[in-house]
Amino acid sequence: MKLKVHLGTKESGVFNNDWPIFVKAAELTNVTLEGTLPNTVSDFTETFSVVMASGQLPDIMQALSSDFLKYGPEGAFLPLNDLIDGHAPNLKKFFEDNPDVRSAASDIDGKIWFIPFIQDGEAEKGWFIRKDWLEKLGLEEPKSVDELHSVLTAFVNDDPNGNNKKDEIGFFHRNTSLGIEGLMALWNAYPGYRAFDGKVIYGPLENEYGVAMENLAQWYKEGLIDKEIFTRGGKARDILLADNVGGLTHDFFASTGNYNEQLEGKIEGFQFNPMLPPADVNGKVKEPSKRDRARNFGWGISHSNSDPIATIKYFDFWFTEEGRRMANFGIEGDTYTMVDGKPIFTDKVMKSDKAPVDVIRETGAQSSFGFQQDYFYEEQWTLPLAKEGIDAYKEKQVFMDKFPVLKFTTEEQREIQKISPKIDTYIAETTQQWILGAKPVDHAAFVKELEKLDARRMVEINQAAYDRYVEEMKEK
Amino acid sequence: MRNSAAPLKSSTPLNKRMRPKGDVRAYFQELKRDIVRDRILYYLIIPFLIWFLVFKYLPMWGIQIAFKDFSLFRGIGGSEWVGTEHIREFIGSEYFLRVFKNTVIISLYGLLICFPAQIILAIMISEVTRERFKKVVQTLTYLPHFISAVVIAGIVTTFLAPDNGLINLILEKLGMEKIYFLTDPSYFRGIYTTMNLWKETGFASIIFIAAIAGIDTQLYEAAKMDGANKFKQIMHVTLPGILPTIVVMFIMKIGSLLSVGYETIILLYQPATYETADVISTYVYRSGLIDGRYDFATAVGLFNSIVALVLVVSANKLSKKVTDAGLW
Amino acid sequence: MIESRGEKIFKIINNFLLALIAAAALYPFLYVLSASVSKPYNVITGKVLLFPKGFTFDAYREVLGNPDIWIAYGNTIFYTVVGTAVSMLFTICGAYALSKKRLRGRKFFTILVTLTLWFDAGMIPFYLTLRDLGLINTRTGIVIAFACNAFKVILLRTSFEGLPDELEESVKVDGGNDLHVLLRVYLPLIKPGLATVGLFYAIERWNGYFWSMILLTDTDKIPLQVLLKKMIVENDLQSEFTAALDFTSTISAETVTFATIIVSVIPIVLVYPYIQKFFIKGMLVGAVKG
Repeated sequence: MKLKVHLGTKESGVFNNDWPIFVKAAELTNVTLEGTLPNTVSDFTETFSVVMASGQLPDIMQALSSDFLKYGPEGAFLPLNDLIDGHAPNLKKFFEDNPDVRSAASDIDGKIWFIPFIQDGEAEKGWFIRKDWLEKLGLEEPKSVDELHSVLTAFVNDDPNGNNKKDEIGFFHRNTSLGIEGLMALWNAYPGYRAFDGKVIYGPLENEYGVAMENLAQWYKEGLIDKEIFTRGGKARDILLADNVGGLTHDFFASTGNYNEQLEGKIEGFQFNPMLPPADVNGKVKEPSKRDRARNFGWGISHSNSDPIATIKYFDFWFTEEGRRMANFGIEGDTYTMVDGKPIFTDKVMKSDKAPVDVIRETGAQSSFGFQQDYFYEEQWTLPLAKEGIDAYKEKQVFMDKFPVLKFTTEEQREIQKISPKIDTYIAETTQQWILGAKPVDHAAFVKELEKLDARRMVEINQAAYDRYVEEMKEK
Repeated sequence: MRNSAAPLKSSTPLNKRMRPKGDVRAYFQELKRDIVRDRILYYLIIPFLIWFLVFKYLPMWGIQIAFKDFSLFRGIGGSEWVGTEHIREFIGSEYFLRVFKNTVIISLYGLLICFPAQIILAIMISEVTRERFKKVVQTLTYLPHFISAVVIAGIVTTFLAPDNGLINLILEKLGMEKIYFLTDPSYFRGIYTTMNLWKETGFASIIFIAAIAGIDTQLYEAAKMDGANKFKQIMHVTLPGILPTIVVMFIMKIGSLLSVGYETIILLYQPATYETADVISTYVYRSGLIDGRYDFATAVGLFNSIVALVLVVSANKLSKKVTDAGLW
Repeated sequence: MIESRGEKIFKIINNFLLALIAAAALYPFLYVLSASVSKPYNVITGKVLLFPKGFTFDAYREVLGNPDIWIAYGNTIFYTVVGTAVSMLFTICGAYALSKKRLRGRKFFTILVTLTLWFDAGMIPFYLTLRDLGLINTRTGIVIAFACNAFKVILLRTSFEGLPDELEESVKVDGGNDLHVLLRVYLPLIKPGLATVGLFYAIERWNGYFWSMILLTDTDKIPLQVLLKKMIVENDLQSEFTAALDFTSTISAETVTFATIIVSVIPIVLVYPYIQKFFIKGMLVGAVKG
């Protein structure tokens, strides 16, 4: 049978009827998918809106979780609970084993609306430092905040790149707003919500935030943080590393590790290595970033679907061992071969001019539908250096718990929509002014203003939703 | 020229004045006579008006979502009414006054700097007598319009970079302090306006170049005979000749006082410069317009439209009084 | 013609200033052109300032090598030529009628048209209207649905209003009607206005991308800009896994963007000088009038 599917993201492109893994899945399940999006689409939000507004939904829709949770209860999609219980043993087991994913895919009443794209692996970001600069200056990897301060001071003052110019930049980042998140954590300050022992806190309201900002403003003044950190943008890493001036950053493991290969031979002795986070002011080593499990999108069954049972069985196929392997590694004999029971990528993937993930995606694998990623797909082409870093982070168990994806009632949702733009504006503006030195840090006044903007109410709402989340996890 | 007594033009008002008040039948007779007389004009305008009704006014029933909790799935008719909640959310925000003020000021910068610059450039180009030079200048000034704002903003950011930017290198040579322009609220409006000036002046001046080209050359000859120098010719022939165009363009600009787009601003602003740079559209953008809040966006759009309407009606009245030219 | 000293000085200063302005205006274009044929590494690290560094045509190879591009180019030319013609037809008819003060209902019609400058229905209602009219995924839809624009109507109306009423009388005396006035006398006289409005419509058509992307689902109907935008997006994937900038690579999102700008701007630049001849000062209105 044929089912129409609306599927496409910026990341992996528009669903292609000829993608080999879907052709093969059709042989195995007797369900052939037919994409409805033209392959010339580049703006997926607007095309989704138009399809929803037109009222004629394809049998299977890929959408954001917020869309599923909004339009599902309105009748646009079918709730999947009964379908899964009755016809999808693999999905059923998966959701039983992974209540956090189940929670992310269901609404406040427990109705499951979609099968998310599920990631694997914990590590997301880590610290990278110019190891060769450390050696040149006779310094050790910084293990504490004070040591980090002295290393950065040495980086910018002692000419580690040896060009007799004071052009070195200590800490830099390509994210102009959240780049300093890693540094903030050293003073136990966080830009967003966190839960500690069941209690939800909002970072900016805590005293630690003020302390962190005072210190960061001082570091900025001393020139230890890139002067242009707020304007340099997406290419900061490329520019500063290639110019041999950047010393330290906090970024994704896989891509940051790549520079060692890219710049080998171009900059003498270039070594940009991962290191464990320096201990925070209380002496604790921790990493605030962690990879999400369920991504915020997936696929679901639209209300007009002619055969929901066949569809859920098809969804279930991707959670069988065979389906999952195809979704992760592509086609056996083409992109991977089984070696000692493990899917190993072929040279076609590993020795391509393109990024491995792009070659894999040409088969349809790793595209944006509902399946469970297997970290082994990524591990195979992560550079050894980055992998060492990841292993060290894992071994020391430095990852902090993520604040879960919470579900709000319609009322709560409305309040959040009203309050959050205001507090976001105020926090972003004031924080930046503090760091730039345009305004002295005054955390007490800052908190007062935030309270005026109803920030405490936001904490309450999140606490309530968090409590519900904890309850939900207990039940399962 | 336009005020010269023309019999055709004055016939209708004259009849109107003669008609006794309240005589409905006479009014319809006149109306019928006029319509028959001008039937060709109506043949021309009716398809045109139908187009506007179908493609502009028919979709406008969708503006009601400004007062609804709009759901794409339920549709415009099926979504629930929420009254003025969205507009109140917008106007009630602590930042409303600031973004409103910033929007108006940035628009005024454009109106007072970019708009006259377009006219001046048009006059300057029109005064060139060497045809080839004229064409080259015109083509070159027209070019930046086609380079996307992202690219131009990138160039501006590079020029203004605190360490190695061209501007700061010059400042340094002059013995002055380097400035981190893009994070200082006091520079934002200047930077934004200069960038627009750079990008759009040449293109926008085409309208005025065309208007100048439409001026009767005899008028210049006559002025020259009277001994008027270049400056006087410009003041007494060129400017009055393009006044209707200037007025119409000016009124339309007034109408877009609140529609400063977010696309360019987000390329140049920083949280540290929100104080002067955050405008209505950027605030709405950050409020999650991108998350598909069509109802809220429509409500803000409606608010802007109503303000624009009030401004345009007033500007039009004023201009009719002063210059006799206007939109309607 | 004898020029006075003052006029000479005026000319020299005027030409000098214009040369400066033109040079400043040329810079962004030169930059884009140079960057489009440079190596991405040099572009990203700011080494390209005026001249290309690390010469390569690969960005153009990527853009022009797309098998669909020539169909898309053809489509764009079709939408631009046919679309502008339809736009001009509607706009001339409307603007001419609206310029006549004696037209009953003129003020109301004008307000009706100008209101659309500030009141906009928004994307979803407009889409639904087009769907109900059966204009989705049709060339006709693209041509018709975007035919008129109030701004251009007003602009052209202002041009018509600038013509003296005596012209109309002279035609009417000879037994001509309003259509004769328009076709024989008015249109030749407002060539600068027509050229401006036509140019604006054409450029909008040429650059239009959003609605074409939303409304057209058949690849063979897609115009150039939709395809170019898609290529830019594809080259600009910034996910966790995309490798660090490849310093030896000869193509990147930036250079592809720059190349697409050049590819889509060149025709507009080449056509412009032909339009400029309509702007030459000194329409002999007097001659006709006399």
